[in-house]
Amino acid sequence: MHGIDEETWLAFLDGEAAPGVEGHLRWCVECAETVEQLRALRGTLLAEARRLRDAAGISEARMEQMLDACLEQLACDREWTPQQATYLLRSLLEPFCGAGAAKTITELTIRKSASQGFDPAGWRLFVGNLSRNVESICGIATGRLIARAGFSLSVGSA
Amino acid sequence: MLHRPEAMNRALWVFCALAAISGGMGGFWLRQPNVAPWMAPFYTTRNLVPAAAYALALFFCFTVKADYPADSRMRFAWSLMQASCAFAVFRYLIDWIAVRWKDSIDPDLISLRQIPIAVTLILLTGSLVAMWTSFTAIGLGTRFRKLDLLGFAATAACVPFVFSLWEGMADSRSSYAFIRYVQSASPILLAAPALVALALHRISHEMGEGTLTYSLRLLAVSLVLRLASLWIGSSAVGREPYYSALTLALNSASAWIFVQAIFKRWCLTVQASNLAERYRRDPNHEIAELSRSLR
Repeated sequence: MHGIDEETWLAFLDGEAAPGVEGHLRWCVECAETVEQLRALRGTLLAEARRLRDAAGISEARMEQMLDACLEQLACDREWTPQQATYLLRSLLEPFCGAGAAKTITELTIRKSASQGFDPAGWRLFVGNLSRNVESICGIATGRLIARAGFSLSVGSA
Repeated sequence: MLHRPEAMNRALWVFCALAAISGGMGGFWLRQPNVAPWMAPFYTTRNLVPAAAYALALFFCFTVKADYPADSRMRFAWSLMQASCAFAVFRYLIDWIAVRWKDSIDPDLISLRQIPIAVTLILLTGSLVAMWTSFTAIGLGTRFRKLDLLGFAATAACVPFVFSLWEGMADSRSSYAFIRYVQSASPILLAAPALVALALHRISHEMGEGTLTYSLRLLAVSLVLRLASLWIGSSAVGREPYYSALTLALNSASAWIFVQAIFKRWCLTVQASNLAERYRRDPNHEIAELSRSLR
């Protein structure tokens, strides 16, 4: 978003120093407002979680379980941007063929498929092409894995 | 054990160590038979060790080959690899027969073993070249560094050296002229797969850490070790008992490192199949897990 990659945004929101983001927020009203809203939401959620835990006396393990379920639900319901979804598929591929090969295969597929754009139909085409390219190097099993994961992701426009 | 790849991995390394030790003892006995006569069986049975290794590699090759689309270059590469392993088993069994009954078999008949040896190496080189072209098709392995060129030069330099010693090789006095030619070409046939394996090693560095990467690196190590063992064995020092032991130890270990390389590639198929099955059963849970692991 606005020339800043998602990882940097996430790191900044987690409290890490990100001079690029801080500089951007000084002049970008839209992003500054979004960050404010996210911080407020985070504060409310933390306060609410504290209140619930204190009231119900929930154990740490149970809390962890609830958090997992919550994150899972968020992941199911959310709509991924093409960049996020591509990053997820690349990460899935890395343990099998290495980060360098995963990057090369993904970029090659993006070059082949980008003309279609990344609407849902374009995403399906991209996943199909990526799966085929992965198959040619890592085999059908890995290609099938990429296809299953890719088609399970709900991807919206960037 | 095949359902527990970790245990299989450990077992293969143990076999590799045992193969190196038994090969070493066999090599020592070859030059010093009177010092330790009890080591004789290690020499006479030494060819059964790589035969077992290549039989196991052949088994893994079936699964790996089936994991590639019918018209792909990788499938062709693994078909050649499979054929190469099959010929290697055959070749080592013949070698074992030749050593075990060397006094009762016609040496010219034994010298025919050069045919499966050459076929094994040609198929292996073809397989590695097909693999390399699969990687270059996606843009990997097209650029080499100075260190790679040095590796290529060192490997190629072994050829004229070993070639100069071919008259001392086992079948160089065969009465079949074509066997003598095949034998004289053996340094080139051994160096060729090692050279291509070095190119695959460069690709493994471009790929980054992953299961396929380990497979390629082990393949390169195995083939370079095999060439090194031939180089040491052919040189004058190869007649010294300890160097002779080192030669056969490296040779025996290289076969099991080769199995490790194929096994790693087999593991990739198994791991991907298991994970794909998990994605089929519960894709949302798996995606949540993946996105959480990236946070």
